[in-house]
Amino acid sequence: MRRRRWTPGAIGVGVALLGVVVLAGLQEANREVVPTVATTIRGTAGEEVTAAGTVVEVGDAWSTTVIEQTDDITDEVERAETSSRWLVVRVSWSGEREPSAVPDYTWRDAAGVEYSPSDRYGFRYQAAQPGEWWHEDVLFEVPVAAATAGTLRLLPEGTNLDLPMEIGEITVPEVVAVDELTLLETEPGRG
Amino acid sequence: MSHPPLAPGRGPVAPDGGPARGPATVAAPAPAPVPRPPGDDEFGPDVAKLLLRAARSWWTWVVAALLVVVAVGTWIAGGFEEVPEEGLPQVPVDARIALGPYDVALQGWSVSRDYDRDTLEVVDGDAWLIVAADLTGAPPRSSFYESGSVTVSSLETTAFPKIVDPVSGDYLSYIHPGVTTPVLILFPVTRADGETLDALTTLPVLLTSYTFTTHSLSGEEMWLRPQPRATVQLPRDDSVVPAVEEEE
Repeated sequence: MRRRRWTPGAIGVGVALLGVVVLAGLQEANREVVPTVATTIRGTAGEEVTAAGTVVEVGDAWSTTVIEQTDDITDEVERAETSSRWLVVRVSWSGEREPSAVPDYTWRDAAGVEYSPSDRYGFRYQAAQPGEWWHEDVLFEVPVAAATAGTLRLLPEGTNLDLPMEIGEITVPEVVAVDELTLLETEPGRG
Repeated sequence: MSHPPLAPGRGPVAPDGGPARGPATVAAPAPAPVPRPPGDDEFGPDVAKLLLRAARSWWTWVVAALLVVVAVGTWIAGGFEEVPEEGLPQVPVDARIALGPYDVALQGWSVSRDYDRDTLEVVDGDAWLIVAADLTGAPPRSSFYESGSVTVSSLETTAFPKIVDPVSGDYLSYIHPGVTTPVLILFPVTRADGETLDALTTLPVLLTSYTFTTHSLSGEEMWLRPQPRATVQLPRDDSVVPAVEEEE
């Protein structure tokens, strides 16, 4: 009977495989567990809510059919009407530990329907330093029924994809109806 | 010298009837192998054997039967042909048709070679086919415009269509639930298609709907599964153009 002999090549391959298994086990045992499910942080208008590295406070909210706003580039005052309602939510924010802003907003009405900001809102991503405040008017175009109360959602999607994700939900219990409104530009300070 | 007798079908035998010991006959020299001509399939007999074995296997017949069932089922379900527009309902102009992410009501169309020439050059177009419409968003959330929702039969655009505000000419991103937004749908077309469209008085428009469902790979909920829904014979209305003409 021939005796099977282990060649150096076979021994080398076996050692390499064993090494891979040991390293994979070490990697798995020491892997940092990062939650991939978004955490929702809730608050109410008038409160400071910290989500995704940004401290946010929602102030007043209004609904109207006519808005005026100054064009960021041409400085012309534009007037826009809607057959539905303009919903304007004044938001202030500050960086928590580093310069930060809210990448995206949505408005959720009582029925759970979600509205993205109006195209007239534009892109106003302005990072605020920690301890420094900025504020602006976030503009939505919604049906009449959605312009009485709802929730402003602060979404981390966009420029901040750090894990764990944090979504802010700030309840806005009251929306004041007005005839027309002039929107603020993005300005420093708390609104 | 005599040779032992040869039994038919057997090897040489000894005079006592047993098997012959030692060479009973002088073996003839083996014939030299005949060289195969180039390209001759030397595996032919093996392939034939494999095919024969496959034909005898019931697995082969099970797989074949399944293929036949799939083919017949596909044929019964309508095959892979596009749904013919002739079979779709034709809806009147201004009728509000639910397409999934939004309802659409078409109003009129025209062709312009003056509007936003810069963008036309970028997308290799010579003219815009402009369709005026009202879009009313549907729950559960604001949607982007689906480029395949409003198309024109046998017309290939040079780039994806876009929607703009009829008054300001600003490009629009979102259509919001419950909000009716007047828009102009801009289709960039070639010179030849522009001339063809100019000769028309009625535009054959195909409306395609979408279903809000979960993407099988990403798990994200979105509007998928386009399905032709209706056709509209849209009359030409050149008054849609002046509202979007660029000022010199």
